Amino acid sequence: VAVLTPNPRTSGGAMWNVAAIYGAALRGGTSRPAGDTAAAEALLSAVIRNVKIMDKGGRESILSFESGVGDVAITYENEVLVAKQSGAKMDYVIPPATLLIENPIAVIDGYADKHKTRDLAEAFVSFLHTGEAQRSYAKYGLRPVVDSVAKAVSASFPVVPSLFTIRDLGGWPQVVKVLFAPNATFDRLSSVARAQ
Amino acid sequence: MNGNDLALPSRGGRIALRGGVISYVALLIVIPMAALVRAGLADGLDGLVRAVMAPPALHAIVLTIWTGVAITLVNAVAGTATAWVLVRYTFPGRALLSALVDLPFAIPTLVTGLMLGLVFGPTRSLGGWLGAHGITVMYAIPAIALALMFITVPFVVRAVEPVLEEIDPAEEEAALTLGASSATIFRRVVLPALARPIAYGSLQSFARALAEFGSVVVVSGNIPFRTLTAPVYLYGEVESGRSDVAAAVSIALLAIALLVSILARAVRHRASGPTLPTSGDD
Repeated sequence: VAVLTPNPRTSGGAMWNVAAIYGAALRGGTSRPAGDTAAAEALLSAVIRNVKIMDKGGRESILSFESGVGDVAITYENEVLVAKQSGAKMDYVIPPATLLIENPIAVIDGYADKHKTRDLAEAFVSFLHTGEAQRSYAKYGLRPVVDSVAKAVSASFPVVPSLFTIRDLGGWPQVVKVLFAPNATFDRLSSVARAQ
Repeated sequence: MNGNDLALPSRGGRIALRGGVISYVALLIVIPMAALVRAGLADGLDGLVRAVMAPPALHAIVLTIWTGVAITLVNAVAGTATAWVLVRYTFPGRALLSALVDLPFAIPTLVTGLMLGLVFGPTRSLGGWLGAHGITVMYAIPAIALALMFITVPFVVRAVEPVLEEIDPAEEEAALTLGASSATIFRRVVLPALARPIAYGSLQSFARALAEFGSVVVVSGNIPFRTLTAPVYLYGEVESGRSDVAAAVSIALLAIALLVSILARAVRHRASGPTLPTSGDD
């Protein structure tokens, strides 16, 4: 199976992909025993070995996939939903265990105060949590975080049995240290994969 | 030193010009390069060696060098042949062919990558046909080589062409009348005169290949330890916030490029010296 996933050095999306695979195995979400680092590495290694292109970013990766390269592309759910809306023919599978990406939003105190835009900024943040904004998110394939909207669109967003967040893996600093730092797990497994 | 009094009216003007040119080059090239070297040596020579010897970096550098050497050898032969055809034959479309040779300089390298994808992509007819016969071009080493060959086409052709134009056909005719075969004429009469421009063009195309990013990043697949070239590796390090590592690896590439560039200059300088055919002067 030829897999497409971007290069974690250049793509945040790729880091999510790698962390999701590794995390799913580590949390017992695959056929492997929970907490078994070696088994999680084995799964990640098997995936890396099959990667055909590591594009610069998630978008490029999906474009490559749409152009007919590879059997499987690892990406965000919303990328697939949007692509399908615009007529792309593709099947998608949501793994039983995977990462929930929680996109943060924040008002930057210093900046907002300096430019006297705090009211506006805070109003915008609250607007994003209204039904109207959340429905827009859902329309573009992003899972709503407001319950009422989430319930209304639940048909488009299948329940994932074991959904975890980056916090469950120890937070990004920890994940970067273990997986993505120079000569850490990702580099090591890539190095092993070449010897196929 | 001041024997040449035609160029500028005054000594002051000459000094101003010289100073201006030196500061221009310093500002544009030396200062940014010095900044890079400083950043790359932030962790000392140890840090630089560690960055370059890191397995993914080393693999990327080696891949970049050997693909560069390979396409340079191809260029040396194909470029010389192209120059030969352009200079020695008149045929319809020659001007167009000559213009096409320069085109790679004017095309954004990303577009070069896109074009290769359109031809050799697995769902395209040629790419598909090759794939069915077990030949993978895209997202593999052949795609890297093709991209590099495309962007470096002009170097050898444009280095060899003017020298070839200068060669007096009388020398070849003389060899012919002495009974030399055309292969011998090429080897003994033409090639010695062309050796330096060929070397010069080849070294230039090698230096250019070392630096290529835009087309390669699109066609190579970018997989560490397989198809990740040094410039794309650098890009990854910069994007992951490790510009110190990127700077260190850049220094290695820069050193090679500088060496090649100095070598190319040395070769060319002698090319315009005594080895140039001098017939007509005497």
